[in-house]
Amino acid sequence: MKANGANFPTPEDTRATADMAWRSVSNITAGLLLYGGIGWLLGRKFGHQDAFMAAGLIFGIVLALYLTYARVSAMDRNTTTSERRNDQQ
Amino acid sequence: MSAVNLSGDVDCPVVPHLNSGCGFPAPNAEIFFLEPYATLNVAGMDFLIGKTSIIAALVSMIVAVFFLAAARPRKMVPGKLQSIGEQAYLFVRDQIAREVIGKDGDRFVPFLGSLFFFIWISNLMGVIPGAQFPIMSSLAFPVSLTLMVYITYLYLGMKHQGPIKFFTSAMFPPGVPKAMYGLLAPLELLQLVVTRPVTQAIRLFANMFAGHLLITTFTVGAYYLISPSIVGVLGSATSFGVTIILTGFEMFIQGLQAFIFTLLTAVYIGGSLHAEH
Repeated sequence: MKANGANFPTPEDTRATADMAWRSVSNITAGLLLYGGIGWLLGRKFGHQDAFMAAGLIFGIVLALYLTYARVSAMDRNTTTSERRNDQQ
Repeated sequence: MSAVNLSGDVDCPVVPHLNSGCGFPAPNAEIFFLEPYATLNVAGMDFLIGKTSIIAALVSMIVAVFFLAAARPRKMVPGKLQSIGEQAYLFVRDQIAREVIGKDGDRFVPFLGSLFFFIWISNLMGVIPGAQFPIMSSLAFPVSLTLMVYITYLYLGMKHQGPIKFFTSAMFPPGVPKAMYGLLAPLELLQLVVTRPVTQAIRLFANMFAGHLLITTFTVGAYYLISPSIVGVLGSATSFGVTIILTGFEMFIQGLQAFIFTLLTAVYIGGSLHAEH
């Protein structure tokens, strides 16, 4: 996210964007696996297996989407500040 | 091709025809388990020599011999072979390594280039007559390639960022309230350790698997339907036409998947060299 004078994306920008795009897929998979798995385990312990697992899966997706959103906004903030700095110079 | 009876009926031939009264032999996962030609026993382990391993050996030889031959004369005015070799090398260097990793990506070009051309040529084997089997549709190949990539990634990451910082910078993303870390850190750890390499391997495997299955289905369909009747001629011709179109489409996917696999490798290597913000 370095400003490099011209408005060309640096390799670091390209990499961060690409990483973000591919990471969201793995994040959602991880969210489903982890919290779906926890829901499944809780369901085994307390009964109502399907309800616990469904809740876990939805919770996992929501968390993964939130994480993606937070990461992208953090990236966006960095870019915006560096662009603003460019304009002021 | 091995003798798999696709319709699953004992009385039916390997690939039956509509007139034989056998049901449509929809190809299934069995077409990916080819009978080995021979078994070598080396040090108590069985090595199966079959179509898959022969194609894999052939592809590595083709790629190695091509690049060795292209690099050998190294003239100032390049010949045809040298120009193609240079173009291939420059493509990986400029479009993948420098674009994603930056200037210090140059030292990874041999690794990225080998990956790209090995995957691409072995994918192409899915449509080259005679071979017609994409070896990346055997899960072992994408998995072993991903392991190589992943070990490189972990090693570089821990070397450049320190073993603890490497994991903490991935687990505690910026821009997230501290209270959420308890929920998000395990998710990020799982993403880093499990789902990231798994999705990389599965993406390549599933694309090649599905493409081969589709092409086989329509090829078998073209034979199954053919008969001297309107339905037979039209159905068979349509199926054959779709096979041709899908083959073209599949060639596009083959190049694309090789590119994506290599691009992801570059993204991971770049990420391990430069700490996250």
